[in-house]
Amino acid sequence: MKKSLDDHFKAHLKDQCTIPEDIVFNQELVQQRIMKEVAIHQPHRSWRMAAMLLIIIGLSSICLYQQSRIEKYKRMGAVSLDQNSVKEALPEKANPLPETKAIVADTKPSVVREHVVLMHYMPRIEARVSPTTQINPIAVSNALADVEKKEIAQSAMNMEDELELPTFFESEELALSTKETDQRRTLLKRLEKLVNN
Amino acid sequence: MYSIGKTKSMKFLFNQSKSRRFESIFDQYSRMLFLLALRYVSSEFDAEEVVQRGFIKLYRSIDRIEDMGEKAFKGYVCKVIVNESLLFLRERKRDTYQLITNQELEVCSDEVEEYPDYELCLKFVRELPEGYRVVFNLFAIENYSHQEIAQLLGITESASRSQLSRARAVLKSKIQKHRYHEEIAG
Repeated sequence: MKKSLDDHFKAHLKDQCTIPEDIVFNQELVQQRIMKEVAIHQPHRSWRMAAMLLIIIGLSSICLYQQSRIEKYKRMGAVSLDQNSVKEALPEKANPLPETKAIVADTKPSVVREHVVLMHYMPRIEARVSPTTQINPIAVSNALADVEKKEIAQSAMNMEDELELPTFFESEELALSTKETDQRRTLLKRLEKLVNN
Repeated sequence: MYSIGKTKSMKFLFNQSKSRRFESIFDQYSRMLFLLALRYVSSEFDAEEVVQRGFIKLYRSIDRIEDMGEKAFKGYVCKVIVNESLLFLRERKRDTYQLITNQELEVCSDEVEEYPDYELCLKFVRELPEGYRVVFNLFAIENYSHQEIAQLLGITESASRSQLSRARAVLKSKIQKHRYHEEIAG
């Protein structure tokens, strides 16, 4: 008996979804109140997320920019080394060039035409590229000597071989080796003459 | 009648955003849970408040219930609402679990031949004194054992049994009275 009473009530009331007419359930109002309550306990999550995203994007873009700059300079340095005609750049402190310096291109007496090249100061990184791009002549002036002097110098240059001027060597070994080769040459010439005769 | 969907898994809900998921769950279960709360707290406004509290808890734990099947999920939400109802009654400082011993009960020895329909069942249960109502709901409808009921309500097992038998007696009395009135009216 008791079992059946329990079973009957259970069968009718368990998982029942039908609301009797005399009972009012304001479903929408309850839902609104729930959403309102939930929203109070979730303050500005979207703002926080947006701020976090902005910071992450900003930092990553700065890192990428720096990385690309480093890559660019590395690439430029590699090109200049490949050309093999470029010396490695000196450290900034060891760089003998002052900010602006006039250089006389050549000071040999045989050169009559002087080019005064004004060196423009380049930063250390750019100096690594190559000397051809490092030197920016910002003004070139022709400092011509007298015509007579030029002619004299030219004729002196032409006669230089004929005069057989004594040569000076940097070291004795070099001088000896050069003398030996000269002696051999003269001996060879004599032998050739003898053979021809 | 509002019917619960036939889907066996709750995973279909979790492809949506959190608020959409919650809306789906609310649409599907709010009526059932309202009626469940109504059996414990009796007043409609109180039942609405219990449902509100229960759904707020569900919203916060919605990410942890992804892998539940429909049956398990339904059991879980029912348990949440039952616990919220008991908490609500305790908070209101109603003397919910005081044993009702001095009430005169019309103990009916006759068997009930004809049981009432759903609406009357609900009405009779809601009219029970709170102590009887809670124990009867937990034991007869939610399938809690006397040991569990004793732990939940902080009473002894024998007290739980006593409250249940008295609740049954009151219900039988109400059913018989109702039949008697119907016969007179008829």
